Amino acid sequence: MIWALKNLSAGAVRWPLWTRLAVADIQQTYRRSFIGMAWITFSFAMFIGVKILIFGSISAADNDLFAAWLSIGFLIWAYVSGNVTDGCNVFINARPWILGTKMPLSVFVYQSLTRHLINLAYSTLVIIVLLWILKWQLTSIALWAIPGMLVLLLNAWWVQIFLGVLSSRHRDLIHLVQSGMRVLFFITPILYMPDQLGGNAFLLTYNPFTHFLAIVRDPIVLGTIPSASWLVALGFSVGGWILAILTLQFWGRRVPFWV
Amino acid sequence: MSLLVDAKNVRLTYPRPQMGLRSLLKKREPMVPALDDVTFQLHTGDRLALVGLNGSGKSTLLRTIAGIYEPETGSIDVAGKIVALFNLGVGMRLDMSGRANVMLLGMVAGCSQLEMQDLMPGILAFSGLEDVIDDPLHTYSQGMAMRLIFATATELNPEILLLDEWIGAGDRLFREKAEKRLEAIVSDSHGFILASHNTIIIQRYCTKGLWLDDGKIAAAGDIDEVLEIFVRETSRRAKEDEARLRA
Repeated sequence: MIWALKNLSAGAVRWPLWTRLAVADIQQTYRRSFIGMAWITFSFAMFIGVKILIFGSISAADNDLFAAWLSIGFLIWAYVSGNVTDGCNVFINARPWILGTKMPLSVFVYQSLTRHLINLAYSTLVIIVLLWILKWQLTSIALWAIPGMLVLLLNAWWVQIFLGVLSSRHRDLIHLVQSGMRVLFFITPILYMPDQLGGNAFLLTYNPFTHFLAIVRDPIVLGTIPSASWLVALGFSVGGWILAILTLQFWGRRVPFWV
Repeated sequence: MSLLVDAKNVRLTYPRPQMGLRSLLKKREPMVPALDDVTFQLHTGDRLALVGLNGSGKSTLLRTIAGIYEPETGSIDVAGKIVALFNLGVGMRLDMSGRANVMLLGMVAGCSQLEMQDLMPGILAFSGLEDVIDDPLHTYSQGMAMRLIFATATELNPEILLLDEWIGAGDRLFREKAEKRLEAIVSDSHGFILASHNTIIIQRYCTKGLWLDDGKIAAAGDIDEVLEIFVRETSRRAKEDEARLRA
């Protein structure tokens, strides 16, 4: 185990570097634009607004409930799927760095995780404003969304290590993951509520993303703590981390040859 | 005299390139190792030149010494802070200011923010870019950007310095300064390894030589001896090639 864990901690202590790189990545995306990083918030607001307008009118659910359900669902989905798809390229995109400098591989994972957290923070502003407009009544249960978010982060972390190492060698994985995520989007309850599926609702429980969404969304939107989803999410965290550390331990040192 | 780099029987093979479905139809021949049974030592004060034709394994060996590639079998032990001056531009961001880029380059090389703040005045003075240092990098000419990179990279005091080809930067005025600077850090370093095709540069700065031929050591020892063997052998091969082409 030693090499993999050393790599993770040696990367972690370089935080002044990877936080700087993450911010630079985002600034690069919005360079020379007048409102800069506010575009993240602005574009998410437009996206959510249109979705609520279109899907709210065809949904049988209560309007306010549906608006909160859909927007928080999208927020988390964007975060989760962004981490999964970017995770595949986390080392491939860092090729010049990996071949030109001696830097722990985990630095690039931390950089990517930070970039997605910044994006998430900017988009969350939209949700805060929306809940305020809806005069949404939050209960103390809503605080459960915070440990839920931490579990998402914990999972994003191992997913990036795992997919990053494997897809640097097997590039088909990148495309498999991308197409997989597009399919999974539709069997994740975001654009609809589970009970609208009737007898087919049980299908959703086989999709892990349903549960990752539930542990953050349910406490805020429904005021409940989904205990079954928590079990699934914790199981994935433990299993995934074991898998990721084994992957890093056995193949991490091959990544410079593969990228 | 202490041992800085100790390489024992280093062997390294690149993985087979992924060619997609085509690879199912082609015969799979075993990959030739890029480094094969490479053994050498670098002691304090050694100035080692790596010579060899294109694709003979010079850069691969440098990357292995720098710890980027791990040998398949054998071992490389390194004692001391290595600074590898290859891929100099890694870490540059065109939209950040020159100053922020200097900071970033230093942090990539493993310096802390505080250390870099201490080094900053020296870097700025040497690069001669104080007037434009807060402008974004994309407004710099290529030569100016190279000067900034060069000034930063050579400000970091290496114990063991690795160079993949001798580097130079800038216009006539800067080039002379750069030459002196590089000479100074070469002579200040405890150990120096240079991979190059330029025999004049090699003879001027190196005391020892190592000829890599298809990943194997073909000759090693005093720089003049190694260069002589290398030049003699490669000229002989060139003549043979010529004869074969004519036939």
